Amino acid sequence: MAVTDRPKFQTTGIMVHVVIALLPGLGVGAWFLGHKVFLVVLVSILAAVATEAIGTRSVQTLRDGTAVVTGMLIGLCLPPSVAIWVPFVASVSAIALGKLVFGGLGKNLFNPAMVGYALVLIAFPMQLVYLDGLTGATALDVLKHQETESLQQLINHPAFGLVGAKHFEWMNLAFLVGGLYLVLLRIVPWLLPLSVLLGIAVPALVFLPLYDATYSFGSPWFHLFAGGTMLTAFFIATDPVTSPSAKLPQIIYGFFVGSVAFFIRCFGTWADGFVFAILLANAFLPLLEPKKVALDN
Amino acid sequence: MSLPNPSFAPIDWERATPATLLERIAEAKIVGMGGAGFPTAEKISLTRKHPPNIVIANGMETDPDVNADRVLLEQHLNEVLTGLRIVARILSAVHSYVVTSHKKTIQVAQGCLNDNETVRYLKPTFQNGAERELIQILTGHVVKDNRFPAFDGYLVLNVHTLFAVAEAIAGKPLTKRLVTVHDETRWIDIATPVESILESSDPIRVGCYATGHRPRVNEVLTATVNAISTDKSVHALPCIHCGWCDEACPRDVPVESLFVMAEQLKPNLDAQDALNRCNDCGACVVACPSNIHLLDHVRALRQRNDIEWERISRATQARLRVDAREQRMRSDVIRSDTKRTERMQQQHKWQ
Ligand code: SF4
Ligand code: SF4
Repeated sequence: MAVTDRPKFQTTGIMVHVVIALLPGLGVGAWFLGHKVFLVVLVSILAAVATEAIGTRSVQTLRDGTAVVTGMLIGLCLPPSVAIWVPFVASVSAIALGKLVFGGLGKNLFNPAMVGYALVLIAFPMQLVYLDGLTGATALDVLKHQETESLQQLINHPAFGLVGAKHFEWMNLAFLVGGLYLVLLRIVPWLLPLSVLLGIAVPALVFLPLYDATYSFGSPWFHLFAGGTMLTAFFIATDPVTSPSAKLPQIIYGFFVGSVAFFIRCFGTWADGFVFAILLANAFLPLLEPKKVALDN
Repeated sequence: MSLPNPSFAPIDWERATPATLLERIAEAKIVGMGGAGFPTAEKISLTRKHPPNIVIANGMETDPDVNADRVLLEQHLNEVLTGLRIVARILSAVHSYVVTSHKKTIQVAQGCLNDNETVRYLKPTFQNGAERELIQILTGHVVKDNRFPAFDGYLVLNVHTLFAVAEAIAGKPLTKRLVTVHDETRWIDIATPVESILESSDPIRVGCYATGHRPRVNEVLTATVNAISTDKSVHALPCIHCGWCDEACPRDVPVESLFVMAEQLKPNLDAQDALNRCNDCGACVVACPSNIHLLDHVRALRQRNDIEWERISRATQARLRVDAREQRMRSDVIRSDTKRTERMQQQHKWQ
């Protein structure tokens, strides 16, 4: 009988725990944004699973459960106001273009969920705008399109909550709780999410004194608890296939993702920049950790 | 493993000379039962030449899902201690250790120890089970890589080996051993066909599921096998690059990279250092969430490398031979040239 420092997990078991860890965030999201969230997530999962089964012409590949997680992540990234074919298109392209064309699980270069999400984000941008019943825009949109607001006015804006974005701060908190669950089980290495969070908080802190009467970049707390920060830090950036497993590359990767997301939020075209930050970091992964590329000579 | 000689007479080990005892151990053909299979008598006599002569009874069970050591210590602690004392007597050992990961054994053993004997509990991690690591933990002595611990005067013997030693001295040949078969540990006759021990529809492994090998044709149980298990790796999923195998390895082998290299079905001489460092402990196999049998891949790569080295050394030797021959021929030509000139000069003189 040998003991190991890490509890024994099967790949399928890991995916079950990830799904469990996502449930609080899903629940809170449904509480604030309406139960259509469930429908979006369900469609995403079913489309992902079906694509994987059809694409590989077998149900054997479903055993690992990764298709379910990919679908669930896509569903959670999409606003509940989308037309119901959007999650379908996103999931199908995530599995087909993000995973199967590379040769299946473990061979993909990019995070499949992010491939699918980026595709619909670029193709149907208007579908992906969060329409909040109260304000018509989320805090991140306000941040980007602010004209005359100072930090103080910004904080008083109806789209803002206690520390982060209204409603979204609670979802972020729920994802943080789920993420910590995975960290405690040691399914997720603690260094990666920490680096992502620091990657977004540190630039925010640096830019904080730069605000003047007319412009602000938002406080570190705001950035940590707005948009998809926690979801990305704990669930998307930590996809084992597309993230590094050595310590130093993890720090660089995480910091890169966080800070690129911050700059896209503040200066880019899109409200939240995590999706492109992740895809960009994925593209750099072979430089960070050469062994992850399949050697073929 | 040939059948032991049944006509042993018991020896009174407290009076017998070390030479007699050693001879009996050699006669009984006892080999390391922890898996290595190295002849025990040879190992003892190697150690004997090098002070300080410290014996360690290794009861650390690191193989996953195996309980053979624990059951042996529960049933036959006295015999194991006797075996230890016999070996200590042969070596005139200054100190002996019993190390185990079973707390119950410690309590029982503590009551019946001599002054120069210590019993230690260690956590059953993969790190703690290996010979060099054990020596370092218990005595602080660091055995250099590429050096046989016996040359430093340290002898680590598996508890089953010590049990076999005690039995041989008592005149009883070793005909069975404790084997864990699917969570159940029982005495099984040596030389039983392995396929008949565990009936299952899944393929089996001789040894635990992590360090064992697939059975060979008509393979029989040998004294070194501590378990017969079902092979989990037949249900392997794709590698998800989590890096847990690398993290688990107590010897810092980049297992995942070796796996990628092994999948190319080609030798890779750059990996030789890492392959040498691996001591087949199986920690990587236990860690992998996708049930990939990394050790199989490591072994396959090692085998391919061995063949490649062999080929290279043959080629080098052939090259050397050809070079030497050319050299020889060249010097022959020069020699015959000079001879001819000399001859002609002499003829010239005569004319
Ligand atoms: S590579 Fe070798 S030493 Fe490392 S964990 Fe695997 S079997 Fe043990
Ligand atoms: S533990 Fe298994 S799945 Fe993870 S990197 Fe190693 S081989 Fe791949």
